[in-house]
Amino acid sequence: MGHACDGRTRDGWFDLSSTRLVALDRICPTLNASLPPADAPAHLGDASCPVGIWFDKFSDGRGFTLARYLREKARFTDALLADGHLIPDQADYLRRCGFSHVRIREDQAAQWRRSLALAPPSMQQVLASRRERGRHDPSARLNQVE
Amino acid sequence: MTGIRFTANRIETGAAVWLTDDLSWTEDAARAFRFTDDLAEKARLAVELAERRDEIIAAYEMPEDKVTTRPSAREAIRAARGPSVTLPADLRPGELRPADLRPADLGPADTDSLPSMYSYDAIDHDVVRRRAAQFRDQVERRLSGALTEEEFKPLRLQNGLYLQLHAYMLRVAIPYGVLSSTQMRGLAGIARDFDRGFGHFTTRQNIQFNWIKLVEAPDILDRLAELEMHAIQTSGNCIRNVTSDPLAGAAPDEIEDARIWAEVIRQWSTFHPEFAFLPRKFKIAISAASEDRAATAFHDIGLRLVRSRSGDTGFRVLVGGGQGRTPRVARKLAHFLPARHLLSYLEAIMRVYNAAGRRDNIYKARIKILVDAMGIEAFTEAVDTEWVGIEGSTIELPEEEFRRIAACFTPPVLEPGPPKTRRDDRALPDVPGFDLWTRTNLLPHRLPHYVNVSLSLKSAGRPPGDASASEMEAMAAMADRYGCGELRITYTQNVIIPHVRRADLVALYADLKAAGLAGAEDGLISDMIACPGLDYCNLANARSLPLADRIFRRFGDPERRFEIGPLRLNISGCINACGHHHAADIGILGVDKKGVEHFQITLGGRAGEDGAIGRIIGPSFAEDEVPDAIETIIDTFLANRREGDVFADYIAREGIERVKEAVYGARL
Repeated sequence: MGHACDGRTRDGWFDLSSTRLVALDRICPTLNASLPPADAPAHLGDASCPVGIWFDKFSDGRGFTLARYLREKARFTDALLADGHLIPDQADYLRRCGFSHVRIREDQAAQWRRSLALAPPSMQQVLASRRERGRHDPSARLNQVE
Repeated sequence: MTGIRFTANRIETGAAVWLTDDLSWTEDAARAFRFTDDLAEKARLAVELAERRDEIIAAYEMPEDKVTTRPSAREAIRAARGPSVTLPADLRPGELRPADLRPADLGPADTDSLPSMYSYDAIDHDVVRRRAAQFRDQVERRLSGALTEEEFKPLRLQNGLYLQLHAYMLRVAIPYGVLSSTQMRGLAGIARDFDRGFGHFTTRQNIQFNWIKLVEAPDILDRLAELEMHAIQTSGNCIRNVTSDPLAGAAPDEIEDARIWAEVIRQWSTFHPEFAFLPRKFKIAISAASEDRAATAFHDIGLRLVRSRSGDTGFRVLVGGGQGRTPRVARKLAHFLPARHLLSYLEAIMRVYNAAGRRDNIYKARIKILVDAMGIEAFTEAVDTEWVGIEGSTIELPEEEFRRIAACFTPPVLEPGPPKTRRDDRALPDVPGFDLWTRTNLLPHRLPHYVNVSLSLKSAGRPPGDASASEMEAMAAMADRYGCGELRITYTQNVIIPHVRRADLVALYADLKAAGLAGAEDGLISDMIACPGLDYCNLANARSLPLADRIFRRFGDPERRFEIGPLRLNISGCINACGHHHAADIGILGVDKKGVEHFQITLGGRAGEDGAIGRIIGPSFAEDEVPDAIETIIDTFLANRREGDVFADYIAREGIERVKEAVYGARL
């Protein structure tokens, strides 16, 4: 784990949608972020169960491409978990690349929620959605900041 | 007494500090204590403690043998707490300036003409405001120790904040080089309120402020957000701000306005969730004219907009160009990519690079190395494979959104042509210097009775690309008065006022003279590109700025510069090549030779369509010797050129041998 367990705090799975800590008991494979995306489907197996992607370092961006590949090309639909060294400031990018959960230290949950709320809007979604005017309320997410 | 000195930078201000005998930190280098071996361990503990308390960053040791014999230029500059060349004092605000330079005297703004540029809607405003709020949170967490320096570094870099020798530097994006006069005034305000009254325009169409405090950076981002500006992704291992043709929308030779596509790419690449932690930085340039004024061949991705025989627009896509220690001219990836597929194709390239680019060696992490290693055929195949399935997907830009962005760039309303009986270039007025200036600094416009005017940020004593707050305000006022309230930043570190009537040139020239910006330099030997070098930069080996000044003064006669003709001379302070020395007719590279600054000279580099990398002519020179060497090169060219030759023609035809002999002959 990037955030070492020091006995005082426990790890938990932070749900990037609900922003709650949840328990996950069945994880099939954990793929390293360095795995070439095209090799990933062979590791998935047949059974439907969550898949983890391990980050040795938060700055290893390969895990983000691997996640999108699994979602968009391999059509993987179960939970996709980010594990290893990650920082709260990556929460929004993780979510937008298809991760559903990230393993964090439980006492960090508030900061992960705060960082998610502070993240600017996705410009890629803005471009794709043709700027649906009137539907965008800049104050909506700011109010979620703890 | 021998020993070790300990140095670092303060986390809040970035100021260089040294450890004293009472284990406190001082900004006075003379008070740095030399710790003998028996005391060094105690000092190391103090350094570690200060790092853990988040008081200092970037600490290192200076063993005696490296600092007493001859202090390296780097340590001397740090100890001096400032650069060796800076803007002349009379151009700095708050100091002596003639009253007639005040922008108010340049006349009222012409309110009829508004800049044609991208204007923010509620979403864009929200984006930049939130980004500033997000960074404020990150800075607070860094200062509280919740984020380590390793974790914080990419976050601050992606907000344009570097740690340099004396302070933090903030690099603000000027997307594809377009700036309104209001924004230019806003930048002047930032220079005054947060910096030392000046800024530095860069080769990538950014402006850098050199004396920034970490704790004030979020306030500056707030200020920028109000100006519809930002520092997003101006640094870090992500897609940097896209650069383009500084004459886009005003040039006679363009197929389409490149700014529309540049803005599309800006939005697409902003906060791209997949590409925020690439192996290395990533630069995209786009040109949509027959002349490539964006140096597309020297970018990670170069885009040339072209029109097919059937009239469709598309892109010639180049990949793997770049400078640095492994200079490469980009290779052709796609001959004609239909314009509507641009974003999905860019995603495919980025995805191949992000997954396969090297991460084990910073010097081998750029896409050019991946293209070299795979070969262009295999790389093209990998991109095409990746493209299958995303081509035509939701990643593509909706036509409606393209039209919305394009509408922002509706050309300004310009006057119809003058009566046929009048000649635009009739007898020149008898104003000293005006004739020469019109021959160098007027760039062609799509209408014959208009021009685009280049304002030179090169002059004696001025670091190339530097402008004071007062000068920024003067340029803004001139853009209002003579142009359409719009300015462009060029990769050659100058400013352009587009859309100026020829009939207004005499008046504009008079104002430029008064503001000290009337140098007749554009494209000549004195129009140097230079990086900030060792005067500011943590990476540099040598100072670029004093050398640029010496060369400027050596070629101080405007008539002689004009006689020499078009010539690009670029200076980089280290092999990272921010000064584009590889792509210059005469390139100068700063190297460290046993602790002393030396300079290597290259010849025959070119930006543009037929990009080429300059060749080294021989052993390096001490700084004192460089102006003479340049003079010899120029004299050899002048003595041997054929009728109509410019320097590049001469080198292309004759090679570098004769010049080399002339330069080194006396030494051999």
